[in-house]
Amino acid sequence: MKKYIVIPIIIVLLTIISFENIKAQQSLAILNECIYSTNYNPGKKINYKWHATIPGISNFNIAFSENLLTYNQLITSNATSIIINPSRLVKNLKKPTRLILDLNEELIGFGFKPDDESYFSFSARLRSENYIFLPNELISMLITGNASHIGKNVESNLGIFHSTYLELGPNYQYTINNDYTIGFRPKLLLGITNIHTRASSINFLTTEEWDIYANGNMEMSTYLPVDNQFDFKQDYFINSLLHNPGFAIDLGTQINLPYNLGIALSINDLGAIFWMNEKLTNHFSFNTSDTGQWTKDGGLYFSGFEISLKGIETGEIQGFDEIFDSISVEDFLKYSYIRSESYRSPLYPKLYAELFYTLSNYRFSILSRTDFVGKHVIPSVTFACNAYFGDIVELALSYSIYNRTFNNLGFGFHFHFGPVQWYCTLDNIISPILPKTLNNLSLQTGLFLGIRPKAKKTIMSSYI
Amino acid sequence: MKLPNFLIRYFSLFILITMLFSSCYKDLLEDFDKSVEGVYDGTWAANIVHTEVNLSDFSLTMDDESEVLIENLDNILVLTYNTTKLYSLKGEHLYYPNLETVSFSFDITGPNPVGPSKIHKANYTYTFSENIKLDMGGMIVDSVLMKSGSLVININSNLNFPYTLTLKSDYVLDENKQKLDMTQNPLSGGTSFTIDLRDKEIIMPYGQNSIPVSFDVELRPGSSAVNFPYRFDVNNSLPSCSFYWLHGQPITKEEYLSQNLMMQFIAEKSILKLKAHKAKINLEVKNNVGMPLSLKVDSLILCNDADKFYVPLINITELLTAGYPAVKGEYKTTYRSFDIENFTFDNKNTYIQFRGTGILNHNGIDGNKYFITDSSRYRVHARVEVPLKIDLHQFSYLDTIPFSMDSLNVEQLESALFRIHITNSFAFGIRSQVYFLNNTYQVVDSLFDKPLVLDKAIVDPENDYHLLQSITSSQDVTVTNKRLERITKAPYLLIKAEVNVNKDDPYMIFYYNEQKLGIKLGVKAHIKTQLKISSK
Repeated sequence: MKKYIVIPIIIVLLTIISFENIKAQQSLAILNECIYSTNYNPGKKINYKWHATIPGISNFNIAFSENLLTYNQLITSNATSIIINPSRLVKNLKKPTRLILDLNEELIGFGFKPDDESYFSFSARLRSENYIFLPNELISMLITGNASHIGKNVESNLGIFHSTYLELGPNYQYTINNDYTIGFRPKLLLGITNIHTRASSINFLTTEEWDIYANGNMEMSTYLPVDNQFDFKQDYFINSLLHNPGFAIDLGTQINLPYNLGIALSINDLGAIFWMNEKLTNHFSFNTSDTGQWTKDGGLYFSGFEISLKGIETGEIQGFDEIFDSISVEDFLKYSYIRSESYRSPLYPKLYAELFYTLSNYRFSILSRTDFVGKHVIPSVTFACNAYFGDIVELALSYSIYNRTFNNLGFGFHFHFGPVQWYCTLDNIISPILPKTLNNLSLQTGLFLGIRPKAKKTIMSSYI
Repeated sequence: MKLPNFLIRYFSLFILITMLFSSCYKDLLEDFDKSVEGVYDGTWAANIVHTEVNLSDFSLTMDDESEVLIENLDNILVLTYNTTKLYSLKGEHLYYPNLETVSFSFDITGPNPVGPSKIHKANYTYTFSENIKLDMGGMIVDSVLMKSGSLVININSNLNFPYTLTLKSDYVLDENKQKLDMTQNPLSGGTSFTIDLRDKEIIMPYGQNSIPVSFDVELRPGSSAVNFPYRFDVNNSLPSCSFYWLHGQPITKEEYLSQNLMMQFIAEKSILKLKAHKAKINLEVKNNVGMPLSLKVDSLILCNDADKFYVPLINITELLTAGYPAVKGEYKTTYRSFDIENFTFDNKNTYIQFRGTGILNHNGIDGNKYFITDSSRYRVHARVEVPLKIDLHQFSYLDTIPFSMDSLNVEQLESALFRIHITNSFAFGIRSQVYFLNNTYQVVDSLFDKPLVLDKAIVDPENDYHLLQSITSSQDVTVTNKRLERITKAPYLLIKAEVNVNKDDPYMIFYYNEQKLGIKLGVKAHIKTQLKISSK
């Protein structure tokens, strides 16, 4: 028995060590009794006879995560004041920092088991995914000063990725010999809003001779309910909700292995949205340019106030204010927001890999998730233990490492009240209790109707 | 229905934990009521000033339009010095119009009118001509364009009925070339004419500096009785007037000219002593007066009082004939060059002594006609060209410049490191120091403990002393907080630079464009501060 406990512990420790440099996002919902775990793996075996959603309340998910600011890390307080110390962020800024916000709401869904091997379902969901990649190298330099970066170019890449869309599609899964399940979900997408960063670069160089050179550029495609004058265009927006089609597919499988082991693999959101309504497709462009005494090669260049012989003679020495006076901000920082042609933006694919082991009433699992956003790769890992009590309760305890945060102790439950299924998971139960440690908040909850086959109800869990 | 025990235990534990940690929310909410402060701890490095001085960049306008610049001529830099300038009187002071105030009268003795007339209840018309004399300071004027002045002609008469008096002249033209034609209609007695001479061109046709005018009188007695004779008494005045230009035959105008044409060079801030192996002095006469000019130069001596260095450039009185422009507003320049050797220059004591007489229109009135404008004059100055193939004896520079570092809050500075980075490509060493002065120009600190000494660049004697290698020096000066406070409060910088002349240096010092001095002064500051962002 000991080995069943020791082995997972060793695996957990090894994984934590290997994921020390993890750059991740939030974990999954970890409940297995919940029909919506198939959102993450269409091949995960469903043991319901049928299910139906209660529109609006069956599946709601909000996930917020950032790995730069932690209240109790940034701020200390005494009896009279709170003290903000940005230098405490420097350690976090040594690795990529980002802010992630996901929203997911199922509008309508249902499913049924046409035969013992198959399950067919349909779902319509509203999804919003947001990733902001912060220019952490630049932020770090602004906090510590440029002295420690002399001779090195500090390059930062600010990135903003946002997509809101309606997702409609069937899910079909098929089980062979009760051990191998495959599933796929083709999806029709209807784009609502989008921001897609195509290029971004901010450079700050302090030369060995202490000359300072800085430049930047950014290119983004957007589809927002505003025109290129930032005037709200409600009619265009509403009338064209069906004019931005997209297509995507989710693929997944679950394989039960000997010795109560199993693996599950899936890849989701492989696809793209075509933003076709050219009345609201715009291109944002920002760059620096040579317009003034202290600019050079498309950027700010400052090698000190120039003193000429004549300046010495006349006493006309320049001052700090003249830097800013000489640089016309309107000319130096050039940006435009102009109408553009239709464009395509990819979704943000996610790759899931799960290894699980069942023991008595317990299920232990290690789940890896990797998000692909633009050129950014965001891995995460979750360790979970599920326990099953009778035929009505599933409890889950999880520990996740994502978005380079390590304080994510999660908890979830699923209750079967006859045909009514109630579930809730929190990826981080510490943050609500200790709000000053908040980095992440992920809540998934809902109420749906579902009936399991009678043969399955007699055992402790569908997944054991 | 009885809840399972494990659920009871679970909810009990959850409530316990929630109660235990509810204090954390209390802490958080209390924080929102506190004042907010920010801590900053960073180290920044940046250059404050930089300069790269090449002698050929040098161009300095001094007082009195004198000018110093360095030009590259045949790959040898040449210092060109335009001395202070000696100016003659302007045309407006050489010639000035002066009205000959005269009185004259004319009588109407009876009906002898010009043109149609009637004995009774008729109009009677008469015409009288006169010349108004205008002296032009010795010039027999053909024509003149007036700049200002009001010519007033007063007429007194014993007429006791209305009449019309018209003043005419074909020799007074306005800007549209319209002839003078003015009319007055007095009811009786006298009247007057005021002629604004501004922009009027006056032609004086008979070589007598006089303006022909005529008066047309029309008597309009109506039903009044007419009792001849009638009399008109005329007088005129021209209180002040000026001209744009004159044209005619001028008399000779002489003017004695005496001035030391100074060659001072930022004398208040520097000491410069050198010996040039050769130099060229161009005495330059620039004439804007449209008539022949002769300069009778009595004395022309290059002087350096400090070194008792005096070089007569001419030995006997010399008559220098200068050209004159054919078109108004143009200049005609005449040169007289002198080559000298072993020229000893001192920036405070060197000048060219000029004594002589300027003679305009040396031949006097001989039938030739010339012009002069109100502002035209001639000037004399010297352009001294010194190829910088010199022996440098001394060069010291001392200057005070405003220097504000108000934007730095010393209380926020933990420390600062000043770095001066100098590249010297000159064939002489430099010794420099930077002082910080207070409002009363007292030294409160210096940047270096000892003057910063920078060696001379390495030059190649086998290749006309061209530059082989520059000398670079970088020095860091760490400034403590208290010292930094003194420095940042200093409103002025005093820069002292001195050429380190070494007698062992090559006898000749050559200056090329490749020779320059680069200076960068930077600060690396450790800023550590706590700022109040908001208060409750």
